Amino acid sequence: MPTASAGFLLFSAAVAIACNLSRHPLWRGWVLLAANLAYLATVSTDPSAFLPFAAFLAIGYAAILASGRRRSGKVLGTLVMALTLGFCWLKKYWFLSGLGFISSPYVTIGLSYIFFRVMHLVIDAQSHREAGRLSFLSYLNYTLNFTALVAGPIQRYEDFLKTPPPIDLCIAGRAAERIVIGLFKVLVVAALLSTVQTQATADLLAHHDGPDRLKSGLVAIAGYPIYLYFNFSGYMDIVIGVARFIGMELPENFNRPFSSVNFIEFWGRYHMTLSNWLRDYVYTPLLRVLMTRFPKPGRDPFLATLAFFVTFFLIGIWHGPTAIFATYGVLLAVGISGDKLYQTALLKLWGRRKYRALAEDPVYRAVCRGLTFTWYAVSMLCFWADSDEASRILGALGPGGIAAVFLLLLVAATAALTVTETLRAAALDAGWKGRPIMLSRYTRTVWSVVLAFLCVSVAMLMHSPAPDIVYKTF
Amino acid sequence: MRDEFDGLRTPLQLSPQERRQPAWLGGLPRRDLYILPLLALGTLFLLGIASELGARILAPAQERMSCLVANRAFGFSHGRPHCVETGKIPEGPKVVYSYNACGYRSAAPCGPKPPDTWRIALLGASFGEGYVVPYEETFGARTERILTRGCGHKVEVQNLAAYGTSLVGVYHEMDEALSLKPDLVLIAIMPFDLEEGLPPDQVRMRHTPPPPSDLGSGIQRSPILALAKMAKASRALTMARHFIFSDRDLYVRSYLLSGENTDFLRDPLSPSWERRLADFDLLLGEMAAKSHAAGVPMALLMAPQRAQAALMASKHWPQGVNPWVLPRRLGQIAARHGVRMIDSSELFARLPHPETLIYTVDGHPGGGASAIIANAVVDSLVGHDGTPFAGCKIASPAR
Repeated sequence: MPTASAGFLLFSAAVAIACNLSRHPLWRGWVLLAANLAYLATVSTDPSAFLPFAAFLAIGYAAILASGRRRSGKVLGTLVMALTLGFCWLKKYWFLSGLGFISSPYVTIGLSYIFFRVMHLVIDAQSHREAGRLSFLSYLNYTLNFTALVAGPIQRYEDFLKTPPPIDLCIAGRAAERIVIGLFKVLVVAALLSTVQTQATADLLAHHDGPDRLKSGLVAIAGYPIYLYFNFSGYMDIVIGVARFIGMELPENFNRPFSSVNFIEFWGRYHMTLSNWLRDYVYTPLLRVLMTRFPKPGRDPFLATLAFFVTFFLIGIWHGPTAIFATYGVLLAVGISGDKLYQTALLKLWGRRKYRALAEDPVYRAVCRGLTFTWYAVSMLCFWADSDEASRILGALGPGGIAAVFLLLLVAATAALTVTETLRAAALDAGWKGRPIMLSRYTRTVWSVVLAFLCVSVAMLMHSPAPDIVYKTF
Repeated sequence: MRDEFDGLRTPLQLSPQERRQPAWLGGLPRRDLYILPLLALGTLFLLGIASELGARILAPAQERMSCLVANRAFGFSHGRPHCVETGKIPEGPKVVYSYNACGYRSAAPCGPKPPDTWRIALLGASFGEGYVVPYEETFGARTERILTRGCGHKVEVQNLAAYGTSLVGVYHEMDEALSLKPDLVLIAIMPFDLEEGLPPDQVRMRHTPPPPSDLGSGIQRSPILALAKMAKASRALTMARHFIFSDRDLYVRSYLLSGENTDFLRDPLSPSWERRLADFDLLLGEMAAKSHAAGVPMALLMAPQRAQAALMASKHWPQGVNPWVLPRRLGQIAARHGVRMIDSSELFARLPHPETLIYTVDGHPGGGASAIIANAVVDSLVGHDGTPFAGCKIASPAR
């Protein structure tokens, strides 16, 4: 059931009505479980296809209970290793091919996100009693939550347990607005961008000459991250809005990532729940271990750089089991650790005051914003193209073409993002009686109706359905 | 960032007036209960107007009724002699409709049949006339060209069919068709002709049609019908339906849900469709008797409707649905009266997406579909005895 579909919205509306019939936690728990299982049942009609999935969930629950009962580094290490291997085996990572994989098709939808949730509970059960004592009903609802199953966000268990304020007209208005914005992003913007980007890739591989080839390369490489952002953040908007009607508050996953002026800031704004998870469970523990092993204070920035490198390499290989995703991880890792090294070097060379002055310079910020986007867009080539396609694209561009596309992308991204930021600031500044017009509920009501109308119109005009959520595959 | 929609202010921050409001308002002033829905409706209204204007610019249409004269007593329409007019539906191209001296949509003159000319008298309604199809692309004109090329004789089609003619009207035109001394009378129908063109009263009183003064104005004043008419006239809605129903599965699913009129796709047929077929049987029998008495062979041509063509090509039908029931039943009726059945459905069913050849909203076959229908007609006439066309040397694309 695609998230940006009438079927999903109707299903969610039915769940929201049922959930709001009573505020008793047990009622809500069982209704949610029924909804989660019903949603899962739409994935496959073959019950045996759910067996590996169910086994992973059961092992995960046993691991959480075990971690809560025996608090020791060894137990935790064993459980983490076992779960990671189990996850990689189910996802058929190449380094486990010697073990043999299940040959019949089985359900893996949302498995990565379930893995993150289970791992968080296993680790937290060592220090938080609450995490180690969760009921099976609560565990199933937390891991299988249909609003966040397909592609996140990765919510922490303690946040999942929180009950947000009861829904009122304002909250309902905001949630509905969020759903409409999400639908517009997925059904209109992402769908159109996908068409443009796919066409540009096809044109590039069709061996056009000179400027046409560069133009196609530029559109193909720059188009994908923008498409992915609208596709993924649109999905998030929909599920956050839907969850609010059901009485849950999902965490935000995006905060205008392309306004970031460096790679570290970018990952604080993009797929935030994944970045935060990795920060808490990979980066911070790893840095702590490194600082304990190499305790010289002057080394801290370099150790942080190394921890960044490892963390972002892991982000890369989390996306897929093939070598191209390892390359993707290396590119992300080089981007973020290079950024960290550059900051460290400038601070050392110029001192804090001079560095801060530079960092606040508008022209410098604009170029940094462009460079951040450019590096991310170039890295993404390993995300959306397989090894063969990536090498054909690079071959079609040639070394000169790659350099030219990089430079053109940098200039275009710097200019476009500067204009976007300026326009956004101007739009938010425009006010009446000291109130920003764009944020007025009246403006937003009109805007939401326009977007909903456009969604319906474009969905009718498009002869093929909008692309499904890209992160569904991870 | 300030956010007026938020309304998540704690009770302490609410003004005394706001504190008196019910909690479900979430701090919204009561006036917003009216303002916000009105604003949404107003926006929708403006967007609707903008869409209608946009659709009228992008998909223009032109009415074409000045050349057609309706004979309401007998239920048929005729063109005015030598009349020329242009018409266009939003989904199709601009089409010129020109009529000969007898008011038929034919390039050939309608006077006495010249020697060495074989003549086909074509009867029917909009489908037979070639509505929304440029003349040269109509199945009548195509049949005329193919047969002339392959038979070594000049073949002409006198097209008496006209938009708005009922099947009772076709029945009344039989004498006029036979007066043209044709070598074949061809009656062209689509399922919607059976659905709309057989009013029980007209069938019952076919021998004594009422004088025109006894006929009502025909204008229905129900507000619901007026609204439905308005919606039908909306260009934006027409184009929206055009795009939505480009999706074959969605179109077929919603078509099958659209009421009794679609029951000709179900097996067994509904009682109302059985009644229609019984009435048609009666009319065709009397027409065939006249035709046989005049020594003129007669053929019944059927083309499928859009959903029917889609189902025929898809081979996977929902429970209880069978698009071949109606052609089969019509074939049995035709055979009973010695009328040759020409079912073009079989050629449509061979195509992967035959529904694309039929206008989505309008429902009439376009130029491409007319070519297939012409092939079916030629194939049938050439391949069977009983008409002068049998034995013409024509390589059949259908065979």
